[in-house]
Amino acid sequence: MNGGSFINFDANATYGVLPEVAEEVLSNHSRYLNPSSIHRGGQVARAAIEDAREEIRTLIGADRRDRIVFTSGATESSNSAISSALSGATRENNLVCSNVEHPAVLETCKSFDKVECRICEPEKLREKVDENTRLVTLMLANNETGKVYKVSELFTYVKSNFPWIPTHSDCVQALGKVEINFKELFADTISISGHKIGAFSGVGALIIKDGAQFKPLIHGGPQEVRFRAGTENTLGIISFGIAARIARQKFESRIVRYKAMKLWFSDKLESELTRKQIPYQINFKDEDSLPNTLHVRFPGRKADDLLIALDLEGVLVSAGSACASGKPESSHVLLAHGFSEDEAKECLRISFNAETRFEELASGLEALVRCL
Amino acid sequence: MRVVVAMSGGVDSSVAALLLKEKGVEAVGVSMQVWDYRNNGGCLSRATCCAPDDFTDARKTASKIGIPYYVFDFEKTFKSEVIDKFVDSYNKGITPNPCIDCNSKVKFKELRERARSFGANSVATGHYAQIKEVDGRLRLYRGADREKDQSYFLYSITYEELKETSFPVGHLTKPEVRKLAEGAGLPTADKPESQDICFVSGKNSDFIARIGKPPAGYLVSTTGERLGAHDGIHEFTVGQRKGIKIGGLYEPLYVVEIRPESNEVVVGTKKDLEREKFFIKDFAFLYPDEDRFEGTIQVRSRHRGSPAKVEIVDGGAWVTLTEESCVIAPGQAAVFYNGDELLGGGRIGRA
Repeated sequence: MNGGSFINFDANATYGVLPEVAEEVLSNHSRYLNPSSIHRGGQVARAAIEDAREEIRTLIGADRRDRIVFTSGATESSNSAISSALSGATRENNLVCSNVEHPAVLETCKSFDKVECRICEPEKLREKVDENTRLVTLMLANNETGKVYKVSELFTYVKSNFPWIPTHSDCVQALGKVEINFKELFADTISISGHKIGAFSGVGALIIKDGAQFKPLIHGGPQEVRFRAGTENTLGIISFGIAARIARQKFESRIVRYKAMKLWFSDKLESELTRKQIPYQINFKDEDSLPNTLHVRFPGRKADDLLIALDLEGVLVSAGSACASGKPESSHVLLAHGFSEDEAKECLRISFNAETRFEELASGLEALVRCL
Repeated sequence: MRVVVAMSGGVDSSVAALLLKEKGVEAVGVSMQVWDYRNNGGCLSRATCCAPDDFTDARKTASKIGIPYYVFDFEKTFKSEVIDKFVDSYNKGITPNPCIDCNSKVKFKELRERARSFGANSVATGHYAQIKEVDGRLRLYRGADREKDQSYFLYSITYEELKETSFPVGHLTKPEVRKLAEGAGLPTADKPESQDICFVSGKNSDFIARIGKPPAGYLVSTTGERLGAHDGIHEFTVGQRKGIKIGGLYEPLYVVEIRPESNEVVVGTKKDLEREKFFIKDFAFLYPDEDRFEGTIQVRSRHRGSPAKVEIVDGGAWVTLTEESCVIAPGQAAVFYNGDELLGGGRIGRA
């Protein structure tokens, strides 16, 4: 087995390190020392980190006074944002969280058992907000279904009625695939992750709006202007900066490419399956969704088995989101969308990488049809 | 050819995977998640298998060998076909056979079905047993290592299943298997043997007690005399000698019968346990050529086998031991051999 000969239709799990990112990091930045050091060995590292910070700021349209805090990943970012928002909350307080959130948000919210956890459909969140709410959180795009949510609309409502309530959005899957304009999102904090756009894994960022209250989760040294202690993951951060630059420069062309890929793939899949009389159902088709994500159900066919059949053909897909234990469970996201346990286990997520070549797309499709 | 190899995280299945790969077979490693150890009192003992740490070992081994590896969730089937039957057997005073149930209902049934769905038409395991083609048909034999032979646990396999099964280490001895694992640098090479039932850490009776323990009752003699009290029939199996807290008698005492309806455990001497003739049910037979035949019968996994005559009748078979009587227990598997060839077997019925 080697990692090189696969067709990655699972870009939402991880994009894969962009070769130009790896190349630039290793050839130009690999000799850096501790960015907190006063000597020049530290100064160059610090400068490179600050360059990366500016790349990220530009990519998400944050103001120069907004804080870009580097973290170990979006899970840490969301944990920090949520625990900061809920610090000092009491039994009278509540938090409002959508039922399609990634576990990084959902499980973190549930862990604050002192606070009433109001979990509901994204469309009903605003009804749950009241003066005792201490956090409203909604993701911008869902990792499994690809659905894009009207975060800006919800947060505008929250801020115009309850200006003091912290708003948080998990923007991990949206980054690089839909336009993120931090200013217009009305979020106090957002989480993003490097490996979803071609950087190394193990680096993320928490963006904190200028003026928003923030209490750090990790204590220690004065790194990241005391917002996040711990020696910086210098090479990871630099890789994130480079990937962010590429994501910005190629944004328009990637979107065009994604849309073409998805359209071609779903059209061709539909015609092949109709011809072969294989039952299928393309989910979330007419809804606002990520341009690279296709969600299909094959009635009567276990997605886990299909995933393995495809893997053995060299095509990588996902059934539900990636699971560290390897033990498949029905996706809470699909259950929230009204799928039954069994239906949820028949759903396959195909998520394209902008680097996928047309031949790969065609042979991936061929393999899928063959395995069905 | 694509073959699924069931990997427990132990050395035998690791080497089975290795040998398949070396033969040029497209091996796909699979571990079966059969029991939720986190929510069932844990199972951290290194003596058991299929716990989360064992999956890590299986994963490392698969990666070292260079084959894909997946974990399948069989908790539901395992619960209904193995655990429930295990508990039920204890509550009925019948000796359970979880490994046989797991082989027939999980490994060679559900695993096979899932394997087919991705184009793997054969299942391989690390069992010490051998399949050979003799006189134009497949036959199942004891493992070459008589000490490690596991054919006893495989008696219920069907001929159709045999065609799509392989035991890559069956012709080897345990030391040879370890040597191969060492030579290939497999992380499981020096892993200790697993002895216990995989889902039980500690005593079987504690496991049953956690799920729902039967009421206390009396220990009685074969003539019906009350000899003492016990905490529940789940603490006993027929043939058991340890744990009978009655002393002062000349001969050692054994559990000779369990009466679930009255919660009585009957104790007696070894003689009371021995039978020359008994009935077996749930009969599975690889070669149903004749209704009467002679062979060797093995009535426990560690039993060396005794000469016997078998007569197949409706719903089972009568076994007559020809040279020596045997200690038997209802529920236990009785397996017939002709030399080293496994002919079939069943479960011993109540006396």
